Amino acid sequence: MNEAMTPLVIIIGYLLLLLGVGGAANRLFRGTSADYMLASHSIGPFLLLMSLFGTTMTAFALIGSTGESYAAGAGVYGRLASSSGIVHSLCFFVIGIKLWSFGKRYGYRTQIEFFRDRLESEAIGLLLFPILVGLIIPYLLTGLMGAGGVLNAMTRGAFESYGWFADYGYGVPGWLGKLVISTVVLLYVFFGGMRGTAWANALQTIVFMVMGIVTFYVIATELGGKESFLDNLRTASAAVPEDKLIRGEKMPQLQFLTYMLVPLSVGMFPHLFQHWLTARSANTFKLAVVAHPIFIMIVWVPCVLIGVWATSELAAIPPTLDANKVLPFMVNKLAGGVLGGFLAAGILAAIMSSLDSQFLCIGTMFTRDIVEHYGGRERFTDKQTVVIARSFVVAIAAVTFLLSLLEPRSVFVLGVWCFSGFSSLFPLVFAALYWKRLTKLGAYASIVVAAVVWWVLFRDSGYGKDREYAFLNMMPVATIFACSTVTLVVVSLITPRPSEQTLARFFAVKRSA
Amino acid sequence: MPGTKQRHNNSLGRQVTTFCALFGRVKLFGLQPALCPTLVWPVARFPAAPTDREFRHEMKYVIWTLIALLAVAHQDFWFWNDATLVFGFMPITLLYHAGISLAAGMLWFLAVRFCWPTNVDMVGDSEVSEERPT
Repeated sequence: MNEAMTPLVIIIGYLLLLLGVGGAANRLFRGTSADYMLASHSIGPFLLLMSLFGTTMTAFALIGSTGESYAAGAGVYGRLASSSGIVHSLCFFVIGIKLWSFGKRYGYRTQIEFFRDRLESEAIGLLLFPILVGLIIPYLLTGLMGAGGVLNAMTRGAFESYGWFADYGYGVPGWLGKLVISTVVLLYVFFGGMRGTAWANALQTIVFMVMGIVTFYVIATELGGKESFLDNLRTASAAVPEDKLIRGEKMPQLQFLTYMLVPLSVGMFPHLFQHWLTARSANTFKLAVVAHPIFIMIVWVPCVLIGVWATSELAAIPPTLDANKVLPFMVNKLAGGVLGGFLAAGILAAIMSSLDSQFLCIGTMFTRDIVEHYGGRERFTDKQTVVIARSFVVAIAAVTFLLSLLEPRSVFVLGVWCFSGFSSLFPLVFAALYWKRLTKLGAYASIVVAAVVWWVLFRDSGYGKDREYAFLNMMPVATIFACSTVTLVVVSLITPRPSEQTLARFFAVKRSA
Repeated sequence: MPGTKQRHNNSLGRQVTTFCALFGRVKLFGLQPALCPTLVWPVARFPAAPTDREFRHEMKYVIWTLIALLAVAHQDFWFWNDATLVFGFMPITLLYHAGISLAAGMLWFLAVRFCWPTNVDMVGDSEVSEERPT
């Protein structure tokens, strides 16, 4: 067998394993929509940790972090990763547990169901639905684009003896890679539902964490070329240009500060909301809250170091290479065929562990918030609901695949804009949980203002073309967040408050001990 | 609660008591850190340790303050232009922020232990009736 074919064989084996996981989860499927969408609230601490972590770590974490540290240096970790360690767990603690509690008490499966009840508003769904779907699709695209790039980079030369795909370096073409990955994810989500997704996420999280560490070791060893591992690390780092070891001018302080608002997006991710609802009990969250920052460190530190090393002459990266392809390039160049295949599987695992939750979440939203809500929940049996959800999962996978063929912008930049949109909705969910005075008009105004300001700034950045775009020397998220918050507070204060009946449902009277 | 005001008439004493009680209570893998006895001694000098409920209430403020301080420490302008390689390979800014991640994990451990909401697990499975017959 052609040596360049080895990674491809390993990747195919890994994808078949995932299909097996989906099939195994399908054997435990209870046939109900609650089981399909929420695994019947049966997920324990370990699976919840792995699901939440696997879902938040996407192409953005592996491919994006390496590519961005290649471009901007070691400061990338502080800019996004360590702040995420603080803020993600904050969101799980402050937002996730409360939403889980309401979800379990009142049978919610989507955010919009919660907001409709909390704000006594039908229209909030119509306003929020297109925004949430519109923001999650670019997020899906980051995954598929990353997957296509990785598959191509890792399989270059595999089809040389057949003479196939010469335009793609005789590797799997990007479009075919995207098609295969979206089909595999689609199949195990289709058959396994949320249980399959959670199991697959756990497996994939373990795979990409282990393979990330192995990648780091192999690349350091190959770059250094010395006897001891420590000497290899020192050799690799010593060759890095000094400007890649600092933040310097390329990362202004105000931008660094305002980047901390970006991870707040986790509080409004619809797919994380759905994962939160799968928890068996509130205590299930404890492990995820504590371990999440440490897991981020385990994944990001090696990736950032690899990205920084890639700037040195030792790595000999072609100057024209797209930043998104730095990690696959390094792996392909420095690791052997077998290891390269496993490493590629690890990278794909990180990507797919987010794609699955997003596919399932959008399918659930279409089913619950549109079809059932406006068509009448009693019109459909539970089995029909599962069929509808599955149909929407298929449709979303197809649409996302077609959109990904357009190859928009860098993974990292696209991700940041998408996260900024979700972050600007954070004040809404926070106020809904902690501020009795929030009104539906305040919520409408806040969403509209956030959407308008986001669009104006996105357009001003050349639709993401300007990678260093800043507004008032800050990350655009700061302006959107501030406008959204001020609007929410001001409009809520001047409009009638929700009924006491509704407030009593969501703000329990404190009980004496 | 009788005696509460008396015990907490000294705000410094209250804070010291809270911190010491915190370290006195934290167990790692079932063992109390050897440091604890030395940290707990001021309890004897200040009014008695607060009750569990009071303690948890006060701990909320301490832990949320520490989380806010961690967010400030995250700004790290002191290593902004420092290209030092710690141990010869680790950029100092990267090492510092890896430390921030570890500190976050520890702080969230304390938050889970002392600030965990008490009223969220009241919902039993029997209260959920969202599934319809197939």
